Amino acid sequence: MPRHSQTDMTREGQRALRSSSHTDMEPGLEMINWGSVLGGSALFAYGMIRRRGFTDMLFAGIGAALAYRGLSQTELVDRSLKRLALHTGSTEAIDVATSMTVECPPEEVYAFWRNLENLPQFMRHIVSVEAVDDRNSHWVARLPTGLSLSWRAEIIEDRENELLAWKSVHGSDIYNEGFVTFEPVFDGAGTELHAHIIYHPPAGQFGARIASFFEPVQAQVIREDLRCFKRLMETGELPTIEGQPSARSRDQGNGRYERLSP
Amino acid sequence: MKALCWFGKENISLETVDDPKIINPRDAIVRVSLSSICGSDIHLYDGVIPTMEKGDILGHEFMGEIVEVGDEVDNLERGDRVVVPFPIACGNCHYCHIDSHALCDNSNPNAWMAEQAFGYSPAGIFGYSHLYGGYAGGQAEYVRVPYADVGPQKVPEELTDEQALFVTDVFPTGYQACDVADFEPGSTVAVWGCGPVGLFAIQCAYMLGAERVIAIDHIDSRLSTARSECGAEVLHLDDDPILESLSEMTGGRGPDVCIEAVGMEAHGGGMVDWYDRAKQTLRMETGRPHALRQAIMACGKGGTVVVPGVFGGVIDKLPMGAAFGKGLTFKMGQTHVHRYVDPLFEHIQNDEIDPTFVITHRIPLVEGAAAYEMLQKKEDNSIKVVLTP
Repeated sequence: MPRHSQTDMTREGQRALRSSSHTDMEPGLEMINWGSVLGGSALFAYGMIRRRGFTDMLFAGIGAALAYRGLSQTELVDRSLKRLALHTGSTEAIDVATSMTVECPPEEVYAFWRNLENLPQFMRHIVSVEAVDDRNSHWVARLPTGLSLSWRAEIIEDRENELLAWKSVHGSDIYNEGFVTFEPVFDGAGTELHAHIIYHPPAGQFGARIASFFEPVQAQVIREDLRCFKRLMETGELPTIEGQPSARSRDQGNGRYERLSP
Repeated sequence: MKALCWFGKENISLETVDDPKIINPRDAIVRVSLSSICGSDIHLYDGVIPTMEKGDILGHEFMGEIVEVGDEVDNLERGDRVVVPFPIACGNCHYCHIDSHALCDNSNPNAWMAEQAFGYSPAGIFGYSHLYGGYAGGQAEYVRVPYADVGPQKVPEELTDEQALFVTDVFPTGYQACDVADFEPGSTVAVWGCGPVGLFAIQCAYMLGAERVIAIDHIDSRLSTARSECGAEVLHLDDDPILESLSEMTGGRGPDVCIEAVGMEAHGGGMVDWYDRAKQTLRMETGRPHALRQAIMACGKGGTVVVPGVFGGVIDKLPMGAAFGKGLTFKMGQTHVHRYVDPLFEHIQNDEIDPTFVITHRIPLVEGAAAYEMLQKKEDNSIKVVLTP
């Protein structure tokens, strides 16, 4: 899996992911009433092919209604269609590993991270994390396209001040799993953070749009998120030049180089 | 407010821009009382430092009075007279904890960009390209100072502004060059470049116990300052055979320490100089490292080459075989100004050095653009220009 050399603790993280049941890749198809969809489609096709009179057109209309109802009856149609698009077919998992050293003891770093509701402070695409209970949390992310994704994550291994591993659960918009390890450096004054995140990105044209967001920049996005985390932990603020004066007019921008993240 | 702004190669002008304001809780706003043009600013004027943007406010050597502080700054108050070190440092990261403030992990908002260029990101710097953070500089009436609880240092009352100003950059830069060389008392130090950094390096070499300092430049007025103000023996780049002279002057051993206070736009001569100029123009090489090559060739066995001169990218044809064969040590980098502010204030208070000796021109900020041109062409015997808003 990882392309980087491992520490003992990251090996523990890998083991935690492997020993947990395989990530549930259900495609969202169970939400569709297939009898209704197939029967309705057949009726619609029959009516449209014959097209000989009012009865045939009525069959076609009823068939279309049945098919629509088959798609939409269990949940809102957009949700099932979104999940259908997200999970039909498969692409290779995106596997991102990155590291950062934080000049704070592992206890502090772990404690901040373990309070999952802190995470949106530095994960810039995460809108909210809500702790459902001690091990489960509900995540909402917003992509630059405006699309919002949500998933429920379960902590599958939790070793205080050392390791946190999670996996998204059945019914998530996007499947992901990963772990973060916290290892002491500088005689315990600092923490080496290794994050490893695996996404199972969606396929299809719709999925490709999302994957194009995830794939090339994902490592950099996660790296920048970790850097924000480090900076908040160490200094309490994020450095910026946004809002400082320059001799550029407003439409020329403020000269700030955009991060590689979208 | 008025500020000197960069618009391209040899294109700097005085502009009216918005006043800076507090953005982060650890910021302060300084009303600039005195700033100066650094030799490294001339690299910007020459357009050889990448990632400058049109409209950037210049200047990383400045001092002034605190006029506003953010909520998290409790060691400064309105009216404090401060110098501001040119590297911006958070004070909390590992590098700040070991007093290597120019390597601060957290102050560069464009760290990702510097990581791609350098592998790891150095600290942000005022007015010195977006690779170093894109911070607005101090050749202006006001400047926003991030991490103000760490950077600005109050100036002892008995020092004048002119005496204190150079503690922001050129004085500690010359001092660090000697400090990191870690030479034995009685050593011989050779200094390439008699601009402000080179001149301070000469003074500091004597302060730290060097027996002889030999200065090299190609400008008569600067050599004469090196000799009369700093007590250096001097060699003229165009008239003296540098390598032979240095060998002769040291009994065939070569200098123990060679300080390269010139950087990426050294003046050389001959075919290699044309080669460097061509490659630099074509952006195939970002520096013309003539002085660095010479310093490596001149340095005695087991000696140390220190590079306070600024380099921005890639250079060619460094005599690594000579460096390897003679077992040289290399030291270089931006100056960790924060660690030197207090000791250097003490040296000034004890009358061991008066930093104002480098000042050749005192002009108002509004004439700053012309001063850049004068310094670039080394006209009017200029060495150091200070600007009053």
